[in-house]
Amino acid sequence: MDDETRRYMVFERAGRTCAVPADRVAEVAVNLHVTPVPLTGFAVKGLVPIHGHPVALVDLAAWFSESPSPAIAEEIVAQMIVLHIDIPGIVSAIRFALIVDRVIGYRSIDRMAASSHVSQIPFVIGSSAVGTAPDLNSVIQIDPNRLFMTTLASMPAYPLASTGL
Amino acid sequence: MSRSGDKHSYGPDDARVLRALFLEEVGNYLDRILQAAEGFVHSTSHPDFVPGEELDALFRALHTLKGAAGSVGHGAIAQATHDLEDLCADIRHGRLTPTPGIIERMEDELGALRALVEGARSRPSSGVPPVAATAPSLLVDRRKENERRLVGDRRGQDGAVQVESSHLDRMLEHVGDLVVLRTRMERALGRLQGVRSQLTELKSEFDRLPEAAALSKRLAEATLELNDNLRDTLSETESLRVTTEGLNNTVRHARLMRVDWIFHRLRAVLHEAEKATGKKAQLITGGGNLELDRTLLEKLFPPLLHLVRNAIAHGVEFPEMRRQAGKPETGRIEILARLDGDFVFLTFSDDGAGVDRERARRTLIDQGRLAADETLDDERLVAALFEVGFSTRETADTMAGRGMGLDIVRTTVHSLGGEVNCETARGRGTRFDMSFPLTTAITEALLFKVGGQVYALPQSHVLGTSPGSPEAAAASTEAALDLRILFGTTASIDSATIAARWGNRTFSIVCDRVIGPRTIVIRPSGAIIGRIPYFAGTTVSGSGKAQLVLNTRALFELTRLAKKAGTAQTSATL
Repeated sequence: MDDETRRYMVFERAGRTCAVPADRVAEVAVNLHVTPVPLTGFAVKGLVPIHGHPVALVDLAAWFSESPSPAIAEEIVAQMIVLHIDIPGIVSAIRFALIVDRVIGYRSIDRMAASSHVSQIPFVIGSSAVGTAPDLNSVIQIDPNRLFMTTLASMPAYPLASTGL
Repeated sequence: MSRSGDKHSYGPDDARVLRALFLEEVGNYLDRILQAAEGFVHSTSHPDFVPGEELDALFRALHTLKGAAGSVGHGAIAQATHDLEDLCADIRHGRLTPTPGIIERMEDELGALRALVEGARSRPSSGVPPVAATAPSLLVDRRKENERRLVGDRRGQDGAVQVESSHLDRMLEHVGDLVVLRTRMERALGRLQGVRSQLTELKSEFDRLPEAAALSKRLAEATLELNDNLRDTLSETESLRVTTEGLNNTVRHARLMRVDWIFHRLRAVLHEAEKATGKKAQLITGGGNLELDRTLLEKLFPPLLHLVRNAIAHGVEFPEMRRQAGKPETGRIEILARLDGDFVFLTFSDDGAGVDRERARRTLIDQGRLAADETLDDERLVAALFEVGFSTRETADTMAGRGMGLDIVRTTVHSLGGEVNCETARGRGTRFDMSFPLTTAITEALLFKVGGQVYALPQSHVLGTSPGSPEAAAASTEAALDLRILFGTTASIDSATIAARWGNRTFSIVCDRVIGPRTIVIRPSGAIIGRIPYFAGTTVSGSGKAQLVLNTRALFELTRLAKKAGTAQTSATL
């Protein structure tokens, strides 16, 4: 396979078609109870228990919309993709989940430069219109490592830094 | 508290055993350095790179290996780490830019350090002080005896086996899974009891209908059978609870080691520091028979190591100076450990010269951290002592002068969820008070509700609960924190107060409703939610919902900040 062509898991969220590298997908989970987390970042919708272990649930819609999406009440999220990432020297074996409206499936996609306004979002690494995914009009390719770092950067500043907390 | 003076003399056998322990651990030290170096190199690829936490983490990892190697006479490793520290210091102070060439140099030096460490591990006897001629078998026996004593009667005993602590960690995780499973079973049983009640009600309805007599009889038989099965299952669930608790206690006990284990190692650190400086000091310890989790003890060793080295390098005076000051020639370093509830208190003190305030002030002014006309009060002085890069020494050597030791102390204590305070008096010495909670993965917790969500607080931090208004809470304790305001939830008619403690201090937490105590399994919340300081972790309820466990220290610090800001109630802005 060409260096610029990778296998992606393609899904829909908030009216957009997105893709994450297939090798970063741990599993697709369904019908899980979300616990809202106070004082977290605007795109973090809460915690979901994946096999008894808590995993942060991130909503891409918060970045796609002009204004932050409202906090969700306690609810069941129908479908989510659990990602696993490693960033050498910084974090290893980190898992977090993405809310999805619909999983489309695995596709091989050419990497192309992002052209729409989403290219301003730090974790969007490109968008593809054709390639080997002819059924898709436009796919936003997401780098899970950058998404994780962007999510961390979007967390509020807490007033306890001076106490070492 | 039992106190032991310097009764145990430090001899060649001790040196040998402590070197063996160092060689066991040096791989971990090196791994931490390499991981920190990887993080640092990664950070330099950022276009707006400025030396920050990644470099500090590398510095801390190097400084700890330097101290540990120096304390057991591995001078070459100590020197190699010192050279790497020099390189890091040049980058931190902007004297060097981390260009590819500099990164390559760092990688070369790391490679040399790794080679030294591997060499030391493959030749563990090299550099060991010669032991006087002794019959080999006797020497082996003495070494075994020494090792047994040093590791707190947990290794080498007859009938005992050595177990990797990671295996015990995994066992504890499995015990945690059992607890969760039991909770789910209890919940399922609760639902079955509800079904039984419904069946009983249904039978009462049928009893009123003569034509349904046969059906009612069959229903009664089915209810009876369900009842028998429920009773048996409840009894077995209770047995499972007792067995799980027993297993949990056994595994936790297997992880315990005596604090003496650290004290003996610190004598070696002191011995080497005395040799390196020509100063003399006696180590007085108390609470050595206290038993703590091995992982906790391993984490406590580096900060105590740096405190001992700092005390010799900066605190205890040379014998001649002490004599002139009317002090005994031999200095006194005292470390006391005690347990109070679920809190460990460690006090470290020396009777040395204390911090030279004027010199510290000049250093801070020279470093641009203090204005020339500013006074240096106690609070600012103590804060400066813990800052990275602050040292009253003009040059660094393998003993001290980097300004990293106390940063390591603070970082480690904070990582354990604890706190450290320092007092110093010129001519009389310096004292560090450290305290941290003994938190375990499986613990009793108080559950309560805020804004419709269930939260947990470790039961050992709870003094009591009462229904009541925030005003009553604020009046009954020195400080109160209304979680409904902090979490921004809508107002509730209900109100309850939890009296909590952090160390020796008490405060109140206001919530909507107290649910009651439960056994919970605390899991890490992950890298994202873990950034929020108010939560110590997450537990998963019997119904499979995630519930946040509050960080008592963070809540206490919030009340303290609010009080400092002059507000009676902590506002949402905090």
